[in-house]
Amino acid sequence: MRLIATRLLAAVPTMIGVIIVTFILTRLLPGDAAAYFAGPAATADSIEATRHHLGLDRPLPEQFVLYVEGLTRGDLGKSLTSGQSVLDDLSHRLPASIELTFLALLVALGLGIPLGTGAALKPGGRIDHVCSLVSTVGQATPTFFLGLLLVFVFYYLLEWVPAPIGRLDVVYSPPHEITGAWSIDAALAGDWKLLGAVLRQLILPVTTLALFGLGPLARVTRASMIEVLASDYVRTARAAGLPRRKVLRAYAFRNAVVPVLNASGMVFSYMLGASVLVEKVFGWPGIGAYAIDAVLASDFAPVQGFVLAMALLYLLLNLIIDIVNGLLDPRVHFDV
Amino acid sequence: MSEAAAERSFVSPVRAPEWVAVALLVLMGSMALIGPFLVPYDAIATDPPIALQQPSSAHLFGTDQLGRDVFSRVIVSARVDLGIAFTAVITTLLIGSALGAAAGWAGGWTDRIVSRLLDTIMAFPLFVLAVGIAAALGNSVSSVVIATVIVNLPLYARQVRTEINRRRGAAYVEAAQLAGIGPFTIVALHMMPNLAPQLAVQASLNLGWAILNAAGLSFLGLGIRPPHPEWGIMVSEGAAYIISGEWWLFVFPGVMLLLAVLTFSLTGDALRDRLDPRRA
Repeated sequence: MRLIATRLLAAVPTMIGVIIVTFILTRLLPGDAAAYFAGPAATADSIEATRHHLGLDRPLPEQFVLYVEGLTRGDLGKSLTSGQSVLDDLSHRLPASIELTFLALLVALGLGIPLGTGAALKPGGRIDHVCSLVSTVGQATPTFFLGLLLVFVFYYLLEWVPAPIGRLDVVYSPPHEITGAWSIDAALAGDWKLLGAVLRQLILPVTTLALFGLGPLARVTRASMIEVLASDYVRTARAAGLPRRKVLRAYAFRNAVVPVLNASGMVFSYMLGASVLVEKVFGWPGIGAYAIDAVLASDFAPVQGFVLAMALLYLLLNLIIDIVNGLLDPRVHFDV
Repeated sequence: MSEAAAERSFVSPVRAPEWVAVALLVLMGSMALIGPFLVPYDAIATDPPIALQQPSSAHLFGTDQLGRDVFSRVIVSARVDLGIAFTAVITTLLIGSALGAAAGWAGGWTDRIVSRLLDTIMAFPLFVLAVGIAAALGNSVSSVVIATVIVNLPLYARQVRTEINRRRGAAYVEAAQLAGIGPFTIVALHMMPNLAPQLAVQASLNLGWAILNAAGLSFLGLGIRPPHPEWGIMVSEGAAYIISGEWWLFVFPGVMLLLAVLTFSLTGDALRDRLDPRRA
């Protein structure tokens, strides 16, 4: 409990910084926001009135206080294109983004850890070669290009997957929303046919994003495993005649996993960034695609909301990682 | 296991030979420098009657939806993408080093403020912050450069801060101080040259990332605007023709992007081997 409290406390200055940055981004907007919000038929007077109404005629520090006040009420402004409040739009679309990014992170961990471990057990071996090839090419391939390449091969050439647009083929109707993650909702409803359809739509975007995160995870696992395998306690365990499986699982792996967990926070941050591109490629109705559509329509409130939401999500994941780390490794302490 | 050995194991031992990096570097460099003068067709002039033709001997990479030669456009793009990446990385290197050196040398409040600033940038998923900045600054090449510079600052500033701080009490620094040399000169002329090799490696690896960042932004429609040829835009425009099978529109610029990024990551690895024997 104390660990969680200290971590939360340590996150406060970061949080303040994040809010200041998003505030600055709002004030940087090109053009006159008041003229924009007042609409095309506005007169000089009505623009002035709008400016006053929005608080844009006050000094910056006061505007900042107003902005923070708005945030505490959950007021992120209004989207001009959808006419909805940005908070509603974001919370409506967030599950789609989370489903995509978390599934991709799980897949990347599920593939990256075994790959890195395999490479570490026999450095210079065949698995090691595969590992370094995957991470080099994976890092060099633009995410959006990889996504399109997968679409071309698996949709156009092989016809293995349905049209890669959106979360569900049009012939199906979406599951009753409980969690908002349609794969979980479909499973909860026991509708396996629907679950299959949802997964078929997920497979390409998740693969794209996972391949992007796979390389760094495999590299860190490899490095961490090599170090742990050379350690004294693993040598001792081996010398004591413990079976190889037990040495690997109980002694090596548990210690090797901490750096991997830390790296997965960084990888998650990359993935949140890359998810914007992946959502755009696959017409995935998440918050990234929402923000990009808003930018192109010169509708800026959603962009700010999106940047803030992403930073919060990243902060939250780092918090979880720290806590899990504390549970895994009793030596982890925090100095604030 | 020693620290150096641990670091060594982090870098995969399986490497492409150095000549691959050199060859790619020459290819990319000549594309950016002299490519635009050598291309067979005008990269912007449209020719609708020959739209969407498959790759042929006349048009090596085919033609796009407006009949423009994809090969010429891919080559001309190199200057834009590499130009943005180089400008951004060099600017970041300068500003980041200055910030990091100030924080590392002065310590105290300067250090606290700079570190807090860097932490705040790092609190965002970087590409998301870049999207936010580029959106706020509007569509221009310079907004892509600025966005790339800002999100990239912590990388250099943190490294320089640590290294300067570590060397602050070194004998040669004290000697220089006793000789009455000012702090600015000591940092710039006595200490920074020691960091040059590792910063060069960092910058090279970082160039690839900067290219991806810029291309990603323009793929989303931020930054550079069509009809200007740029790899990210070309991939984005080509995407619409995948479902009808016109693959050459998106594949060639995409592969070029991949090659460009690979060029700088291989060069970075090779540089590290040469310049930093402790880690190589």
